[in-house]
Parts: sequence; C-alpha cells; structure tokens
Amino acid sequence: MKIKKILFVAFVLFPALTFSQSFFKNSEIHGSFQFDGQYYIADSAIGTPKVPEKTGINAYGNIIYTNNNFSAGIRFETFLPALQGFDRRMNGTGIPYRYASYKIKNLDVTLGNFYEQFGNGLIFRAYEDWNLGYDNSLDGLKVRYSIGKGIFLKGVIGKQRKYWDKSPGIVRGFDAEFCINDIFEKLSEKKTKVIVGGSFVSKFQADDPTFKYKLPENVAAFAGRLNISRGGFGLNSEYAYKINDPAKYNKYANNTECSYIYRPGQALYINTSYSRKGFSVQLAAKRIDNMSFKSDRNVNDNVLDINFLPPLTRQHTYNLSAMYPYATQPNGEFGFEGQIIYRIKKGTKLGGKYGTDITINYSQINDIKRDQINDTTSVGAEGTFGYNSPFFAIGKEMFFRDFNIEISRKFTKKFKMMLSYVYISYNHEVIGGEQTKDSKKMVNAHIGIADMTYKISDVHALRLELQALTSFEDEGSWVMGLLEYTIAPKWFFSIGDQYNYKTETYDKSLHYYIVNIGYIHDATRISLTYGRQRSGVVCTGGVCRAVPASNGISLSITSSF
Amino acid sequence: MRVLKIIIFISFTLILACDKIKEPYVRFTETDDSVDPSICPRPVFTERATPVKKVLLEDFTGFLCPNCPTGAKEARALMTQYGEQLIVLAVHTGEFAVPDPSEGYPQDFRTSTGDALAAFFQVLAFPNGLVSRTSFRSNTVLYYDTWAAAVDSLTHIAPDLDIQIINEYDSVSHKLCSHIQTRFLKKSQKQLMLAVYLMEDSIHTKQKNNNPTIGTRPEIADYVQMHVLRKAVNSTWGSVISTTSDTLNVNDKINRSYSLILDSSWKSEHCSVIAFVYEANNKAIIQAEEHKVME
Amino acid sequence: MLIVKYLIPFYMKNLACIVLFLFCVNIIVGQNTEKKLPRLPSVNVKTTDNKTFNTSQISNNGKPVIVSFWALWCKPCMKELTAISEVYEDWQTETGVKLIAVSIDDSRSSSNVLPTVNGKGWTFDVLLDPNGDFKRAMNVNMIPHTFIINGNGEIVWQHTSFSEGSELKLIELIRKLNKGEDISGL
Repeated sequence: MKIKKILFVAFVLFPALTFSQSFFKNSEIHGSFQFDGQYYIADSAIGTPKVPEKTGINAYGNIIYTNNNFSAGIRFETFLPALQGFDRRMNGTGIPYRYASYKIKNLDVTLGNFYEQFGNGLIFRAYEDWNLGYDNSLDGLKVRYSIGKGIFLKGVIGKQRKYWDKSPGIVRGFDAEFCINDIFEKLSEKKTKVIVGGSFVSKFQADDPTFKYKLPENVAAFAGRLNISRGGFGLNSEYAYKINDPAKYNKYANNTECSYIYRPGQALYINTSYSRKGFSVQLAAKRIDNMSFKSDRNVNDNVLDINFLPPLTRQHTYNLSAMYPYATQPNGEFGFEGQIIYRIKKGTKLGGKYGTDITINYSQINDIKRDQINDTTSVGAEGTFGYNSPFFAIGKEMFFRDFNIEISRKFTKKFKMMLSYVYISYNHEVIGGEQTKDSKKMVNAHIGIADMTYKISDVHALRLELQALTSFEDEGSWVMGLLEYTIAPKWFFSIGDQYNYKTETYDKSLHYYIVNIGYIHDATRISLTYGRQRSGVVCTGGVCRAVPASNGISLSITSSF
Repeated sequence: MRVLKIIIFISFTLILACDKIKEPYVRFTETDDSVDPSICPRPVFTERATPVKKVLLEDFTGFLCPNCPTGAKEARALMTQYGEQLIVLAVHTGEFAVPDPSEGYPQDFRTSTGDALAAFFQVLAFPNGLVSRTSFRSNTVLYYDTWAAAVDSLTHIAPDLDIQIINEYDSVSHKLCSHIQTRFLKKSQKQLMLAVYLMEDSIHTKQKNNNPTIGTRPEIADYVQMHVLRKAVNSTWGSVISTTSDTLNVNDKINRSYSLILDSSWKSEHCSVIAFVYEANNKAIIQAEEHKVME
Repeated sequence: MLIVKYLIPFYMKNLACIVLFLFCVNIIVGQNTEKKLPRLPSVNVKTTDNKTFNTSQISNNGKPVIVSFWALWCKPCMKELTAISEVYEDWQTETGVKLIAVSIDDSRSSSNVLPTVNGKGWTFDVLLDPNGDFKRAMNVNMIPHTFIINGNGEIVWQHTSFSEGSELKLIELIRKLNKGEDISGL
C-alpha cells in the first residue's frame, strides 16, 4: 500500500518534473523557526509548581513554498513538554499545519489548514498566537473570490484544530464584503467611503439521542457590518446574532453553573473616531450577550472558539500596568471606551523643542442585566431559555475600569521620557475566576510608570524603567526597576527587579530579579534570561493564559529565512 | 458569472442549515409510555431466585459481506461458551445489507434502528460489533477477534438489575404484548433507559462468504441468518425508566408493557424479544434479557 | 465524480507528504538555477479605511520601500516608528524611500491604529493585517520586523527587533541600495 501511495504521488507530479527547470524557475522556499526553552529551578519562596522534567520546550519550524500562483506550507511543532503555563494537552511532536493553495485570476483556493477572519471576528475567526499557545486553524477548504474591484466573497468549511486532534463539529461559513465606492463608478470619487459586509457561519455537531435536552445539530450565526470613513471620521460597526446554542459553555460571570440555555446570542460593536494630524479622539461601545461559540458543545475551557470577541480596553505594555489585564466575558458584558491623543507641537512652550505626545484613555466594562423569564425559573436555569436581557440596560456588577494618561516627550537629542499614570479597578472574581489572595472581589490599583532613554552615542543607549503599583488588595503593592543597555543593532542587556513590598493586608516581601542578554543578526534573534518570574496572566486579544511563578534560565531563538 | 451562481446557490443552502428548537427543551419527561392495559392486560411476575449478568453482543453484518460469516461463527462459539449470559443480535445495515434481487438477495433486513446505531457508534467496517455498548480497551466498536475478551470482562460482574420478560402473542391478529419488569438489585440514582427490540431467527438467505471452513466461496446458497434485528418495539434509543432525581432501592420494580403488530412475513415461532437497560450518559448496557415471542 | 471522491480524501490524508515531496524536488532541481531574490508575496490586507489592498501593489516608482511590521501594543515597534517619524521627511527628500508600516493589531485595537498614527503626527503609509495573513506569508515571528524592498520589488534585507540608533543603519542601507550596491549580506 505504501509503494502504491508513493507511485501515485509521483504520477501526479510527473508532468511537473518533466518541465523541471521552467516549472521551478519561480519557485522559492522560505521559512522561519522559533525555539523557546526554559530550565526550571524550584523556588518555594515564590511558589513555583513542581516540574518533574525540569525543562520545557516550545518550538516550531515553518516552511512555505511558492511558485507563481501556487503555494504550499507546512509547520512542524514540538512541545517536549510544553512550557509551564501552557495547556498540557499541547505536549507532543508533529505536523499540525499543512496547506496547499492556488490562485486563478480572481479565485483563490486553499486546501488544508488555514486561518481566516470575517469582519471583526464576531462570528468567525481562525487564528494563531504562539505566545498564548492558541491555534484554532480550520482544516478543510477555503475559497476566496473577488468580483470586479469591490466585491469580495469568502467561503470556508472545515474542522477546527484541538491541540493534536480535531473538533467533532464541522464549521462552515460564508462572507461577502462590498466596497460601495468601487462597485458604483459614480461614487468612486466621493469623499465618503462606505463598506458593507455580511457573514453567515453554521456549525454542525451530531445530536446525542439520549441527552436530557433536545440539541440543535446545526447552530447558525449571522453578522452584518458597516464601515464608513470620510476625511478624518471613521465608523466601524458590526452586529452579530447567534441562534440557539445550548452548550456547556453558556456560563457567565458569577454563574458558572449556567449551561444548556436556549437563548440566542447577540453582539454589537461600534467604534467611531475622528483624527487629523496631531489630534485624534475615539469612542467605542460594545454589548455582548451569550456569544460564546465553540465547535464542540461539551467543552468548557479555552479551546475550540469559532469566534473572537475583541476586548474594549487599552492593552498595557508595562509589567505592572499589565498585571490585571481584562479578558472579554463572552457571555455577557457591556462596555465603553474613550481615548484622546494629542500632540503638542514642537517649538511651543508647552511642547518643548521636539513636541509632546499626550494620550488619555478611559474604559469601563459592566455586566449585562439579566431578568427571570418567568416566576418559576431562576436566571440561567439549565434547559430553559435562560434569562431576558433588555438591550440597553447595563448590569450592576462592574467588571473593569481603567483610566490612564500617558505623556511622552523628547527633551534633547539624547534624552527622552515617558510618564504614565494608570488607575485600574479589576473584578478578580469574575475575570480571574477566583477571589483575590486576601479574599476580596475587586482589586483597585494605582500605577505610575516612568520610562527614560538616554543616548550615550549614536548606537549606544541606556534605558531606565521605573514602575510602582499601590493597592490594598490581592498581592498588595509593587515597585519595579529595569535598566537596559543596547548597542544597535546587535546587542542588548538588561537587569531588573520587581519588588512586592509589605503592606498592611499582605504580609510578604519578595524580590523578582531578572538578568537578560541578547544578540540580533538580521532576522535572527537570540535572548537568554535568568531570574524569577512572578505568576500572572498573559493576554492577547480576548484570550488569556495563566503563567505560574517560575525561577530559572530561559533561552529564546527566533529566525526567518 | 457561473462561479457567482454557484456561490449564490451554496450560500442559500448554508442559510437553510440552522435548527431552531422549540419549547419544551427537555427531551424526555419520565412518563410511563406503556400501552394501555385494555390492549395488553398486565401479567404477574414471579421473582427470579438467581439473576445472572447478561451481555448483549450486537453484530453488525449484511448478506453481501464476505467477512461476516466468520464473525457470526465467533458469536455462535461464544454463545455455546457463555450460554444464557450472552445474547446476540445481528444488525443488518449499510452497503452490505442492500437488497440485490438480480443476484438472489431480495430480502431487506435493514431497519431505521440499525442504521441509527451504526451512524451513532460509527460502525464503518464489518464484521464489527458492540459488546454491551461498553468501551473495551478504549474502543466501543470492536472487531470480532476482541469479542471473546470483551464478553469475558463483563460476565463475571454481579448484575445490578434483573430484567424479566413475559410475552403474549395472538397469532390471528399478530399482536404481540411484551411486558418487561426491571428489578433493582443495587441502589441506583441514574438516568436509565429501557430499549426493547424484536429479532427473528432461522431466516434462510444466500450469503457471501470467504471463509472455507464455514461454507462455499464466494457465496453460500443456503445460509441461516440468526438473531436478525427486525424492529425496535418501543424505539431505537428506548424509554426513560428512571432519572437522576429518582432514587431506586433494592427490590424496587419498574414495569413497562409494549405492543407491536408483527409483520406477516416474519415467522412468529422464530421471533424473540430482547430488552436491555442502559445508562443514558455513556450508553453502556447494564443488563439484558431475551425471551421468545411464543412460549 | 469518482476522481473527486477518491482524490480529495487521499490528497488531504497525504497532504503533508505531498508538500514535503515538493520541497525535496525543488531543492534537487533548484540546485543549478541562479540564486534569486525573493519577491513580496501577494496577500490581501486592508487599508486604514478598511478597503482590501493586495500587497503585490506595493511599489514606489522604482525606488526602495521599507516594510515594517508593528502593533500598538509592541513597545519597541512604537519606538522604531517614532524614531523614523522624526527623520522621515529628510529620508524622503534624500533617497525617495517610502515606509509602509503594517500593523498586525487584531480587531481589538485595529480601529485604534489610524487615530494613533494621526494623533502622533506620523506621515507614512499604514496597512492593516488583522488576522496575520501578510505576517505569516513573510515569515515574521517577532515584531518589530523590518524589510527593505528594492526598486524591482525584491526583498533585499530584513531585520528583527529595534534598539535606539538602529534607524541609522536602515538609512545607510537605503543609501547604499540607491547607489546600486548589494546589501543582502549586511
């Protein structure tokens, strides 16, 4: 049988081989790989978990072959075992991603594993994020077709990846996007640009004939979006609706028991902005109700999401301001965000010689309001409609509030500084899944950050980062200092310490020191770190991964060719 | 243009792909779905002194399947070995059971029950079988060479339930009244289902064959099909006899009575009723019983 | 129809083998051909008003282009773009180079890209790659990742990460490129 297979493959590719030279004239092979390894040292002071293997390795290698309109790719992944904090089901080695795709004029066909997004991803997004250990690629068929200049159609069908296996459900979807200005000749010169789109996604999972509730085998979701831009104004809006999807994952906020409710799901996302050179203002609002959409109704954790619900808060990039990151609550949340960016012109008294950038941002997310459907059924009762939720009502429970202001200015040719103040209210019970270390629900923290860079010469630079977080809840207060020395473009060194000092409520003082050295050559980067890392949460988009405390040496190598 | 038409067509078919469930959402309410006593008067059961654990072997087969006589032979050998502890049911389904009158296979033994079972358990190749629909060495669908070990692993367990069947058959009207009593031997608080099937023995057909020790190749002209599943008496997946909110104690009894009009082509003297109780959440059969239609 | 019934499942099951086979053949056959410079892949991304844009249309009238992958949440990326924005006008006058900053922000922050770029007064072109299609096609692992594309649309240089002063090397390479020198080894 094996010989038959090889012969068959050779037969299929024989015509290509006979035209060898010319066929391969335009062929190219490129790829990349990344290796993240860590050696764990036990450190009971910070509460490191036991790691019997002592090491963790996450690595992948990617190769892409292109030849005119044909391209094929393969990704080899290995987790032996996966680094701490990554799901243990990732352990293993293999080829979880491979595809071949071909383009003919306006048609683009991909067979195999692929990633794709419809609109903002409210009903469909297949994507990967290596740092999160997230990959929900669809294994099947993807077709993209464009008509004229302004109509774009996409169709997908396949099974989602679940670590080294596949989901039992089949996902199918269709998306159409219309650039009105390009479709109608008369409108192509108009200043107002309008884009309208609609998508439909349906998942199929066989019913279980002896399950206590009647389960729909085909669950459908629809979405419509409207984007308008004119000069400096922009509008990005999308509405999604999901028909009954009773599943284990219908749980929300404080009711983790809620499952198998027959309520439809809705999501509305509106983002408006006005910007011109030196000034921009942005306002966004979002309402999500029962929109967790997975391709297996029996799954309750961070896998097999078909859609992506973007959080509406600012993504913080400094250690202490990112200590309490927000994660979208897919089954109910109502949020707002506002942001103003202003650049004080250079040469003015307030702006200084080079100008000053100011960013002010505020966001707040609350729960939605849930009412009983009748007198005898409790809210979120299993096997019922679940609850009623008036569309414009905001729930009482607050999930997150973030007010931040950031000012950055270049003082002289050699010196620049960024100052930032953040105030965060974080509902630890709902977002973190459990109460704080001192058994409270909310964490309120004031954070101050100063990031200064001094250029010793053209290519030598020194950067000092000072952060402070004060809080009376959870782990109390922290200060952090980091000193980084870089020799552009090849070398970087840094040394830092994060110190959790005693407060009235939390009686432990710990230093989390870290030393880091790295080398870059073109597209290759090697980084070696030694030290302690505190337990925390890494979030990208709406997906979060908990990272346990660790002490040890980690090596990271990345390269592209 | 043609591509556009195809896309529009596909998108319409996709739009039809959504199921909306209407109230009530609950699939079963625990009601006694027994037939009215005026149609089937209730008999009196005498308690059995020494109930034994009985295993149900469902052999998926078809008369066009050349490998299947080997499986049937294995099933018969196990029946000899285990006696009343093993009940065999031959489920004819799939492409190997499709009638082919031109080749001499006019009968149709396929049933909606058999098709549903094959689809649910993903029985793709024959002869494969289910041993009390229980997972054995992490597989539920077992090839015939593992049947012996699977049956053996289940027969030594003391039974949790005792099922008794009393049948009443009227040969004039072809009406069968089948009464099933489930007696609990252990305390139970699970969702349990009772399924009742009708099977017929000794049906003569042709059978494709590739095992020389069993008969002629490539087909046997006169082969005796045994334990052929004819119909589900209540339904493929059965009826609820207890839910997770019912506590059943030792010696509690649940009675159900069902009626079925036998097809005139079925020989009632060769027919038997098979009843089994299984757990709803994992589908594993806890106890089974069989009894001839005509005493 | 029969071909479809058997060919497609076979193809899917052995896709990995087929792709590997292709690579091997290409390597064997490609030994004798000249080493060519890779070109920009043709991927659909979005402009800041959400219109679809194909990367094969990236051009600068025969002059070099810098393509830099970044995101709002990436500190070094913001530093790199701030550093370049301060000298961008001079760069353009001197070399005619064009910078295209491709944001890999997903839908959480992609609506925030244009307001941020305008608010900070950056004047270079910005493209959005919200699902990472262009990033994957270019084999970008960590950002910032910067490429130099010459006047013929070929990728001649790439570099990952940013440190203060790296932009000086970047403009030097552009100058060398304009003179016709080969910068692929630098």
